[in-house]
Amino acid sequence: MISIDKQQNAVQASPTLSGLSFSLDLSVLELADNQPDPQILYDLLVIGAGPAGINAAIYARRKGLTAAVIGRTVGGQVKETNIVENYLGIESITGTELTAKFQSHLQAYDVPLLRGRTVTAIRREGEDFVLDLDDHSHFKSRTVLIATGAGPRQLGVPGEKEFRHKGVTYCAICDGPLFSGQDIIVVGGGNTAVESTIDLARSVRNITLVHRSVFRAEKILQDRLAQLDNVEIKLGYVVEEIKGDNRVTEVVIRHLESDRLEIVPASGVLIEIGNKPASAPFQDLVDCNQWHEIIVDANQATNVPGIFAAGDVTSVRQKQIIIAAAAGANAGLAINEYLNQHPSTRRKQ
Amino acid sequence: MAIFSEEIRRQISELFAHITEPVHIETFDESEDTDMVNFITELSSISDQIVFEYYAPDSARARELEIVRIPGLNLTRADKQDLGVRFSGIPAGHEINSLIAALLELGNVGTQIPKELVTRITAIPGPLDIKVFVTLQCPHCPGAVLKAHKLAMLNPNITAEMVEAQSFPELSTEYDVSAVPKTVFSNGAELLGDLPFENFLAAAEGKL
Repeated sequence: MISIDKQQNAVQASPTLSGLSFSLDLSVLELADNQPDPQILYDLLVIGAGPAGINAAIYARRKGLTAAVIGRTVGGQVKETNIVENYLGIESITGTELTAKFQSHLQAYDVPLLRGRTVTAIRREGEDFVLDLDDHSHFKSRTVLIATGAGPRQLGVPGEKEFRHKGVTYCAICDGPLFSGQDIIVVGGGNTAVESTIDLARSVRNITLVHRSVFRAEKILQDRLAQLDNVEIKLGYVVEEIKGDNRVTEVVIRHLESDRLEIVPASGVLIEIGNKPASAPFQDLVDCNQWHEIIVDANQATNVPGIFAAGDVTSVRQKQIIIAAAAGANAGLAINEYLNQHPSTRRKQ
Repeated sequence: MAIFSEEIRRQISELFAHITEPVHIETFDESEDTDMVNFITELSSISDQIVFEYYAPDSARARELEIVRIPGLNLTRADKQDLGVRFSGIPAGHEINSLIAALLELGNVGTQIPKELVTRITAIPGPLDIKVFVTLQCPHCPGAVLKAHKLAMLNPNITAEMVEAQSFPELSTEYDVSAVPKTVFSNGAELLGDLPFENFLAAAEGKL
């Protein structure tokens, strides 16, 4: 006799069909991608398939350049964003839907796209560049745009590493449902932390929002946060340690002014304290600032002729989807000018 | 009331238009009037190539396939041979993408896997059971599910099951799921995240 495990509705509310979006994600479906050709010497190879990289490739194609995109995930951080409400012309859209629009736009220009790969190095070969990938393949180009974006910044406190995936998470929309009905802590004071708190407050029991200073989040978000009765806000506090046995059970926080320690029981810790640039493979090649962001000029050019950078991996102060997309456009146009000014590196028609 | 908006229905219809071989969605649930049954019925109405079939939890087919979690799905081609492509819990939200990807793959619209990888996949002795724990809001999860399903489709000794973590909390607790996608292999390997296909293959081969 086989015992049947039925969908359970106790404790955690099982998902139902109502209220779930069914946005199709072309980036998941992997439908017959037009893939880059290792035999071709491209005018531009873009590393990174977020808004900066995709827009740069579109602008480059419109200028008649041969371009291809190599990236780990299409959409980058946009894909992990629940709702986007500040992209000009679109009042509200899910991150997945916006990603699908970006990819569809890229496909309209027949730009080859290689997903699930990481570029491990950029090498110079004569006047051109060779990109080495993690699967040991290589692609050649006359110019390169680094648009690798950024990944979650870590707190660097005891317990954070040990309890990663055991209660410590950096992806609210992925893991948030697993904390349904439980008490959690959210760390951070920017838009992402506050948006995630507002979103998670609907399904978790209580949230303690911990931030070291004052909120940086937009006022519209702070106003929404203030209306929630299951969120306790702890400003002027830092996380000292994350504790537990197999999983997180409590978090030690410290009040900066008084140095007083407090213990907050929690089964989840969502860390949203900003991002660190994904510049590691390129730090010995191009100049970076003290935060390892790639330094670019007004044309998105790095200190190495022929290598450009755009989006969250760069020293641009504001990290926003629309700003990354605009930087990509700027890069696409600047790279076209660069190739016009360097005829020896211009593609032979 | 329709589950899919007109726009989503149109998009799915365009994708299904490429399917050249019928795909059967064997649906296991307590009755024929459930969210899962309504969902699959509506999905299958979009294309003649998608065939909906209902089975009770105590049906001969459920026993034959050893279906232990409902609601659940098993996908086959017309020959009804068990390919080990399973879904436990409703593949709604983001998981509609892994369901559509599996339907397309079985309907001959899939992506080509390099020959050397196919050789490695078919050489896995098995039996191997793969469970991919997901949440429906997770944008990275369908990528992990479709990789596990691809392994199952190419090797009759492999079964790959999407498990919607919230619907099966006891199983999720048993496998200590507190982040998704979490992929658990019966050979002891575990993967966290939507990692490259090479990682899934290495885990299936027991090389992790």
